[in-house]
Amino acid sequence: MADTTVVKPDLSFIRELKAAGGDTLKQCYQCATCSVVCPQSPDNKPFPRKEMIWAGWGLKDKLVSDPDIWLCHHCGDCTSYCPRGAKPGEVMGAIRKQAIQHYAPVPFLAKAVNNKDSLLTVLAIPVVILAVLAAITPALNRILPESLMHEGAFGNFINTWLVDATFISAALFAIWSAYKGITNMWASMKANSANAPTGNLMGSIIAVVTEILSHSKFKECDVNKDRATAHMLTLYAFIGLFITTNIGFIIMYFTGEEGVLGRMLWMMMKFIGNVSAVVLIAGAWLLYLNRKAKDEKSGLGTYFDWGFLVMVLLVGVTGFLAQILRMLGGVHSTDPNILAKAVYFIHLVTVFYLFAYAPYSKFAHIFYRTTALVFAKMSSR
Amino acid sequence: MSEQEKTILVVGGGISGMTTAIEAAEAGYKTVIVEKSTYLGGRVAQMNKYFPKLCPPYCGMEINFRRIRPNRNIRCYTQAQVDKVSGSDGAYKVSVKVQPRYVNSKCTACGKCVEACPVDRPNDFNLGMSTTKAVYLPHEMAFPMRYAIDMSVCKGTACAKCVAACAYNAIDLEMKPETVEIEAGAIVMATGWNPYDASKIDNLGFGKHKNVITNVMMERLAAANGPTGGKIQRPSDGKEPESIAFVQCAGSRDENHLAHCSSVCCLATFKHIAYLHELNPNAQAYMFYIDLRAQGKYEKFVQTISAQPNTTLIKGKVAEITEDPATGKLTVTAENAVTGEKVHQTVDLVVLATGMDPTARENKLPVSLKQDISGFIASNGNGIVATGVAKQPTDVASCTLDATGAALKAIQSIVRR
Repeated sequence: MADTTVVKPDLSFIRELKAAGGDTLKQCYQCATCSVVCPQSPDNKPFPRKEMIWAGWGLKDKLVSDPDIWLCHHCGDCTSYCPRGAKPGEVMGAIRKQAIQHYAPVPFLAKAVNNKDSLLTVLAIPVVILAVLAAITPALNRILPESLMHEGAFGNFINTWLVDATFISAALFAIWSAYKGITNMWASMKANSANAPTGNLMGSIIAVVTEILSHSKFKECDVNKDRATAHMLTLYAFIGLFITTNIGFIIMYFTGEEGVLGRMLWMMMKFIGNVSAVVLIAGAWLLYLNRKAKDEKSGLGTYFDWGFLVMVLLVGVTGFLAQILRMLGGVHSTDPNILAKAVYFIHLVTVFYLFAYAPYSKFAHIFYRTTALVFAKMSSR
Repeated sequence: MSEQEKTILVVGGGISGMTTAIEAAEAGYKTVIVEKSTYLGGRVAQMNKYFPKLCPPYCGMEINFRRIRPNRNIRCYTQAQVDKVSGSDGAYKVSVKVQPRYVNSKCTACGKCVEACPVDRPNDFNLGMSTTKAVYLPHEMAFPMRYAIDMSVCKGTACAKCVAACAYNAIDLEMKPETVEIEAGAIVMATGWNPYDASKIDNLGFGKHKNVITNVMMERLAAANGPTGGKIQRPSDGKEPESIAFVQCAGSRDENHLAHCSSVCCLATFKHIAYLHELNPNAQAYMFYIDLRAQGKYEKFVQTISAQPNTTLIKGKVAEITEDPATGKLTVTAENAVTGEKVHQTVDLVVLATGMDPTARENKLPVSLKQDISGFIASNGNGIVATGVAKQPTDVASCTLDATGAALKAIQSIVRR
């Protein structure tokens, strides 16, 4: 019996996976209908049949280093055709969640972010930070020299230097976390893959980014076809908001609002920002409607999905609302009323949640999926 | 005990119902068979060959008909359905609706009426793969051996050419439906099954691609009295296939269709591979399955057939079938779960192994009995016994054993009162 393979199932992983939305995984009887009806699955070692048996056996290492879990776009076709109600699409989603938690450099944070019981704790961090900043703002604004005061609309509520320092720190933390996560994932994918990623890195990145921007893969879905449009709107909104934020940064620290360049940048910021906000709200709302309508066919998702979606929606709505409420007191008012301040405060909390926790929440798919797709391209997957 | 109390009513005249009725009648009890179609023998009559000996069904059927004919204890109603059951255990009153056959017992099955009939209809016995005239003999060995008229297509008294052609005054186009009241001490439900409607399985292309057929159609194609005289031919062009893909569990073990395993389809497919290789030993047979299920002693048959040349077994369910419209060839796709590679196999013909859909699922039973989620009758009632495929999917040999047991159970329920 020298060639006997002993499967060492990770039982706690199976339990976690079941709790994470993969509760149906043991229904699978390996008929492989899913691998055939999947519009994304290749001919060579198709998914998700093999992932279903790995999940059933608790082979965590194989799953988290499997690029295929990220090739899955949760079309729901597999779940809809599954003869056993094993919902492979939902199980793949649960596996991705576990992978995000596995690679997260601060594991307890990943656990907390994705557990609805610790939502208040997770929100308490930005609430406390921002409350302290609001409390010290009046004193700081009094001692700050005139030349360093920004005309930020809510600057009298929370000092813009403090806001920026907080969010730049949050962004740096997120970038560090994402970097650690994706490099770890890359290493384990390399160690476990049959094919080494020998392809052209730059070429693969360009191909993957093009694929993501056009959603060409997502559009191959059948059951969740309309979700591609909603997701694309949301993605473009985030790109728009990213550009806006950077323009805002340039205006604030380099050009100011005066002068031809300043005025032009200011108008661009306002235009792109507002369009993006509307698109974000629309996209997130469509995603919500789609999930709700398709729950029978492709699965409803879990807190991991819903929590993130609600947060995206909140960022959009509070951002837009804060602007309107402030402008009710005059277009250039720098003394917003209490309601505007409250909405702005919530907006900052949700933005903090979204960015600082990005590599720990569902948002992390933007890093992990992109990386896995590049790996798949480079290893001719 | 009165004659009525000693009567056993058998609903369904297939292999199970016939067996129960004959066994009880030979034990001295009155039996009444109520059969929906125009003949006795049910689904088994449509087979080319059947297990365990792989003989044509007429062989076993003839013995049964031979036992029915001289036995005065057995009464048969064809084209009949139970309308209402009242009374209780030991004294049921059953009202049976009998549809007119339009051909009476004077019929000698000479066939002159067919020559005169101007109307064609799809032959349901051959699952629509051939036609008959509006006046037709259900099949060569039909019991009763008597023609019938399909009034849904017949032009009636306005035409009446068959009436003129019949030398025996056997045709009566004015025949009316009748209601027969039967008193019975016990009832046996032998309501059997229908092949699952393959057009409901949208990814397998039945009804869309001409050369995708079902396993019951395959039986008819292979049968000497079938639409092709026993030649296995593609529906699209009549070509004899050089390759066939057999798709197991087509709609079976599938909560979107039939949740249960019909237990006979794997063996039926091995039988079909044997049919194919008998006609053309060089033809390729590909069998795609989830799990191979062979009851009891049939394991040997599975081993024999799968060891034959030109027979390939692939573990993986076919979930996609595409057609090349120019050639009528089909490509089936499955993932081979053993190698983990997708298989795209192009073949001349695809046979879907559709399962047994219990008749009792969609047709409301005249008496209230517990049914499982698939519609199989899950328990017996007072003086009511279920048997055969009405109870669970199974093969002919097991049905006859079970039906004999059902006859005894019905007798016991009468005697013990």
